[in-house]
Amino acid sequence: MLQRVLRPIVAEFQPDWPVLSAADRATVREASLSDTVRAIRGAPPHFRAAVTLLALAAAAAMAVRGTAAGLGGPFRSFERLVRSLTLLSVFEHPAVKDALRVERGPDRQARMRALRADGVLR
Amino acid sequence: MRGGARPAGPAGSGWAPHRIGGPATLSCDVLVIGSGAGGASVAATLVEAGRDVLMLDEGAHLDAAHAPASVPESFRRMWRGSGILAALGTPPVAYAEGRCVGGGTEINSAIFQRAPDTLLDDWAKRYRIAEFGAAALGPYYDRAAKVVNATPPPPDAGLPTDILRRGGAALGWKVVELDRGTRRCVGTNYCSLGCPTGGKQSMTATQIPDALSGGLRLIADCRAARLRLRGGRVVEVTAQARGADGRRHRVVLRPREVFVCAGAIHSPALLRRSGLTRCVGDTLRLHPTLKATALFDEVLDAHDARLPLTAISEFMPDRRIGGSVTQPGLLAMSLAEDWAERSWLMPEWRRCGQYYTMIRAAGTGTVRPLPLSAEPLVRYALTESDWTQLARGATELARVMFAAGARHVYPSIAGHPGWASPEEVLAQADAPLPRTRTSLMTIHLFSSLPPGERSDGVATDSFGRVSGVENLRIADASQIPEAPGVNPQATVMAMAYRNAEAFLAASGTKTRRTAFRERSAA
Repeated sequence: MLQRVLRPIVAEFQPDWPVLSAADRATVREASLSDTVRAIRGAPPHFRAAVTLLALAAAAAMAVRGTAAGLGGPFRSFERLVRSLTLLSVFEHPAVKDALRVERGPDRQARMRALRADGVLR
Repeated sequence: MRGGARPAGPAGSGWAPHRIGGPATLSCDVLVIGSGAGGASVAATLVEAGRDVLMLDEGAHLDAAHAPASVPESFRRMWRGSGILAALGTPPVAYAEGRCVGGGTEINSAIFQRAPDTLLDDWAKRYRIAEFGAAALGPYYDRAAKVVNATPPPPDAGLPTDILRRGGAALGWKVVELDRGTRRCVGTNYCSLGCPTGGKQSMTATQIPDALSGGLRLIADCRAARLRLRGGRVVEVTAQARGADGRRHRVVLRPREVFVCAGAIHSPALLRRSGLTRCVGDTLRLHPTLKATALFDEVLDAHDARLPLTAISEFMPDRRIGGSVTQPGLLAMSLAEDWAERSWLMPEWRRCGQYYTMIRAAGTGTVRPLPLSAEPLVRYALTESDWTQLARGATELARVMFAAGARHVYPSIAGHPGWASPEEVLAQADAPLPRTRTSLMTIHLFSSLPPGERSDGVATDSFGRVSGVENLRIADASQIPEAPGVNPQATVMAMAYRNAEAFLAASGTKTRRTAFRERSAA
């Protein structure tokens, strides 16, 4: 249920930059939805319940207003949380890291482990 | 291992905790609940003295070979509540805790700072804590520094570190180099994700494997739910374990002695769930932290450098200015505050750094368990003087950024237009911050079970023994009497060694106190 409710909100919160191919954009959007939902499911129950209620209300407001942004009041914290989680996931996605020419996490880990094993200290 | 516990199999570090395979009843001499800086220090001390120690941790063990490779993965696997935690208030203060073997030491930056001598001596007097103060704790700090190999940063720590050095120099403000607990660190800059190389000297790299080789039994994925008391003693601890198959199993532990080391939130929550309420979870303190994003002309590439390893100490212990890990995803999270106005910074991410001002607040909070939930309700209220400190801190932070060459500085305040010059900063110097639009966070929580011999306001005696319970002791950040104004890990370890040695001395175990040993060696 949470995934269904958050889908349009997470889609709205996708950044315009960096520019990705349509296929990559769709992949990143799905991954960020999945990451956001998993993060909220891992939150303490009282937070999870509040976020779920606010998500339902924000989705309803979005259906009327066309946007989930700028709702104000308790929705300010909700928007910040969902937008933060979405953006974190987007900019940690391998396709976006490639677009930014940032070393992917596993590659960096492997390189640093090799440096340490070789006794090279940066 | 008795009663259904079995080894989980080999891991990259050469050791692995046990996991529970079914309902179990376990007994031990000393049960240590929590494996962070406090729990690991207690376990190491007691095992060294020959005691039979069983340690539980609610989280899983991830060794360096299996460290998460992304921030979202780390939040899910190593951070409590997937990183979504907040002390409720105006504004709420987001906080972070580790939920893994090694606790917070696995997700912190391993910065090692002693609490100021003046504060330690003041706490000793005001809380009437016996054998406390700078001189008494000194040998324990020395021991902690040796265990984690606390060493100063390299001179070439990178541009994010130099920003603070040159900003401080330009303003004539004192700058301190931050010692860190590392050994052959290659600067991966993934400290808060779980160190992938073993360079960070967290508890899973130091005291836990040492204690395991000395006979410690460690069970991961096992959460202590309640202490059962009878006749002024803990007679049983009930826990819930998650087996390798994902199934939950009830575990009953029958220890002779118990050390609760579950941190400033979960130690008081466990005590309250168990019916112990006197001065428990009433005095939570923390370091409210205001972050800012600074844009420079030069490329910082902070994601590839070490995190800033200096701090502006000019205003310590009341306020400290330091730097945070900056990666594109974390930067985007910060800008989410006011995305419509700040998203233009993302394409400039290589020229951005994230810095903060942290205050030694006077405000206090509470920790209260919630029915049917493992997570307590945490509340926190800043005082008027805290808001004054934050406003000063925001001004000082912006000043030092501009002195270091920043072009724009954006504090974590929704709707704030940011500063474009030092003149703008001075024109608005120390202006009150908008309370509902200011985003605060912290990774430093403490003081929810303060020690001492006062008749009021303390939860334990001078050495962590809970009032009215003969065999229950505390050794974690909840014991730090008030906010220390510095990273708390060193103080947590020092106080844990002290509490563990006091327990050994009281129980007649033949062991020399650290202080005695160090004085003899000198």
